[in-house]
Amino acid sequence: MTLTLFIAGWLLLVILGTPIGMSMVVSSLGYFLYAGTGLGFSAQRIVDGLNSFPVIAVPLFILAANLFNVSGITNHLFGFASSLVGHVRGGLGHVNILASLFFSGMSGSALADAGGLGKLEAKAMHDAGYPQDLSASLTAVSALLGPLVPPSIPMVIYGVISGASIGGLFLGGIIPGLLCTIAMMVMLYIVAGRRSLPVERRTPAREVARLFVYSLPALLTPVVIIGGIFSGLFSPTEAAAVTVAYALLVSSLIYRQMSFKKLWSCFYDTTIVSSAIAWNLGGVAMMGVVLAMENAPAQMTVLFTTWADGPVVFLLLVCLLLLVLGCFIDLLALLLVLVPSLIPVATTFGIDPVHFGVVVILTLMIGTITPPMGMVLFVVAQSHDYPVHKLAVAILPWLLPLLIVLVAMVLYPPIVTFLPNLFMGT
Amino acid sequence: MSTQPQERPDDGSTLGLGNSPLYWEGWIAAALLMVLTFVIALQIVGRLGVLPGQVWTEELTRWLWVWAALIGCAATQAHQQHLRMDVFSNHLPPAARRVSDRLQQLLGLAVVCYLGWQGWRGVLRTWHNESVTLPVTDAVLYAALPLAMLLWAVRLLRELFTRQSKQ
Repeated sequence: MTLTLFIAGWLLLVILGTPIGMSMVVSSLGYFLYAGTGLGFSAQRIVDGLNSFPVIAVPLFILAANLFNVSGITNHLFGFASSLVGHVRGGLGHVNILASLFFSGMSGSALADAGGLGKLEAKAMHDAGYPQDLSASLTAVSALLGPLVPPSIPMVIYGVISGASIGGLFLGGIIPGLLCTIAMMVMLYIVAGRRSLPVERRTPAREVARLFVYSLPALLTPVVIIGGIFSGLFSPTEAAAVTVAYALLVSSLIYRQMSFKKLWSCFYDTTIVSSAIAWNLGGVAMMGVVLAMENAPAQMTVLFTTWADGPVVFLLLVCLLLLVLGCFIDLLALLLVLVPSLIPVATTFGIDPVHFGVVVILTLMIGTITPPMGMVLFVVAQSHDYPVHKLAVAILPWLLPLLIVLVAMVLYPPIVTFLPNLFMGT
Repeated sequence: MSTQPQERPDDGSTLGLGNSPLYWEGWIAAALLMVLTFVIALQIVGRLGVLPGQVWTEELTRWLWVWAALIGCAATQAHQQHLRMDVFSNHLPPAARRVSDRLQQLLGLAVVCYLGWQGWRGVLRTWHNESVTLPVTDAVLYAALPLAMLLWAVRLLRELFTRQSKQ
């Protein structure tokens, strides 16, 4: 009963528009006051929650994505993707998806993709006469590849809260990311035939090779990250720092687009975004104490074992729950507040934490493009100058390929676990 | 550095801050993040044997992150970038929304003041705890909170009075 009141109070604050981190702190302080314990050390929890080395990978991966965004690499990636698939039925739509896949190897954030590459995609597709509903939907849906393909900020956070291997999660996201790409392209191919979308002229092989060479330094980023982690050279946080150094080298020495002003701007913007995430992490550190005092994981286990008789049903229930809640609650809040209580239940059902993590992250990412609380939806609507309410409807059919891959991941775990098992031998 | 935000040109960077002004708390936090990146680089080259390895780099990195993240909260407030869900509150009648916004600002102010006070008590409590690898006391780490909450409270107060005068 107390837990229900606590959650209801927190949700009420969130609905009233209180910042999510602040709402967690306020409701937790309220609980401590009511329980008559925990207040004295409440503030210290915030510092202790942040005082973690793996968490530092989050600002560093954001910084790396920012550095790549200002380096002009998005133009090269878009050009390279265009040379590969621009001539296929659906033309620039396929380019949009493929360029997002390439960019996802450098950025772990869907917002970085939607806000950076998205602007370029919007202009190119608008100039080529593509319908706005289609171009905006494709930009939003393909931006979700960002956190699926390594590096991935949600995966770093999940790894921190669950104790699962961050390197394993990075590897686990590769095949689902590729499957989502293929599923989206297949659907686009079918839609393109019905809507008679334009195609680009075929690019000569020599030009493809030239564009490939130009894009290669950026395309190698995931190799640097994964290679560094699995060769034992770096921890995930150090890999993030190496990615920053790599992005800096590539943008200043190869693409020659970096200036001190741009560099400073990248650091400043990263700080603002990271502080927002950090404040939420601090709030969760406090809220975690409340959930532990109320024995929330045990209550969750009882609830789910009543409804689910096996791992598949449990995973499907979790997906359904997160898809519904994802419409109303921010990804980070769900990942930080609800998911820690679900991890022990997943363990009870014998589900691999890496498998569970990747399934949860794809599900939560889908929540970022579903109204009314769809952060990616808002960013894409702005970059494409298309009303959010129209985009919210136009995007619905494009959820289908993602949902198919999600169900496939639930039913056939090796889609996620094959690569981690291969490289880590677990 | 002035207390007034500085304008900057849109260089196409990043996550939607675009043409927004710069705030000095953000400058400090960004500088800390820069130092943090350098210290991690030092840690990596130290472990790879390029330079002598240092035991204090990991702890210093964590502390710099705590400081950067918390100090940056005030600038994040000034940029209105703290994550919130305004889909429902946007549909409130204007008068009700004004009241709700004002109450939330007051609530936020009360909370950051309380956390600042609790944070200060944390500093006093950890004054004699020595850090594991750094030649300072743990209080240096915990001092980030009261200072950050003070800066945040100032930002909230400025918002409260600025908006009140606009209305």
